[in-house]
Amino acid sequence: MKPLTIHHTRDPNATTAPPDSHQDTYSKTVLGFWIYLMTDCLLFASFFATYVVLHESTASGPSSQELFSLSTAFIETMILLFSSVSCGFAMLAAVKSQKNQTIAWLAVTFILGLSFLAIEGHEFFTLVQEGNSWSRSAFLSAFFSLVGTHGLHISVGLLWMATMIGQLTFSGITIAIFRRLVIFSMFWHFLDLIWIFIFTFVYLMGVI
Amino acid sequence: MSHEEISLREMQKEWHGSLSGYLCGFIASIVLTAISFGIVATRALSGPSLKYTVASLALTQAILQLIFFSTPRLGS
Repeated sequence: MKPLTIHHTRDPNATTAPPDSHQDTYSKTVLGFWIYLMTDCLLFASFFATYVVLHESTASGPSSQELFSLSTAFIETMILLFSSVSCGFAMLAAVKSQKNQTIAWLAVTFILGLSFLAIEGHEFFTLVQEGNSWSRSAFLSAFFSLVGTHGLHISVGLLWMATMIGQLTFSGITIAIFRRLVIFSMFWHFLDLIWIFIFTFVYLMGVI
Repeated sequence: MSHEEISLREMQKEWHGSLSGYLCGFIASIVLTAISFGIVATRALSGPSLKYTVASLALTQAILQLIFFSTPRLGS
């Protein structure tokens, strides 16, 4: 009687490596951040809707035609657009693991974001000084809520960028830092996208 | 190369941004913003047609930015 032999054959295409936990965290983070950005979209949508409804409710105070400067808004738009692209350049450097170039482009983005915030802060300050604060009329309340919320997001973005520059300086481009850079760039591009609508529906439509 | 480095390379490969993509989005955005600004500043149009034109220019720019600037795609 022949002895029974069992041949163990391996499927050459089967992968024996365990699933990549880094890759898994990365996709989950990106998905989670997309979901966060969509909830932020809802927030801005509510503010936009409120602004459109209250636009004419000036309580015999100044209207948007009297208050808004189109050239200032245009400069702000250009600054934010440039910062969006410099953020993209930082990512192009990060993909090639070029630490110093990533830091340099992030610094450029930071300075542009800060200039944007300074111009907006100056605009808000002037409005309040002239007695046209958020308590003046429903129109101004809606204006400050909408544009101020965007400005608050920009401030958070600046804080985030400063943190990333610090982390890059000390640790270089690691998995965790690359992941954070990717979602930061999503955040920054998203804010530029929201600003297009603020520029159009608040400033351009406001002076018509 | 360590396991971590291999994972980082994989993530970097999955990232879809390119220099030409950024420049296309950038130039398109500048042109569209300038057109909107120009139409309103010179009052080239009037009434509802002005509003609809400016609103559609904004929507176009938003879609273009979504295409050119939103680089991490889900899945692979």
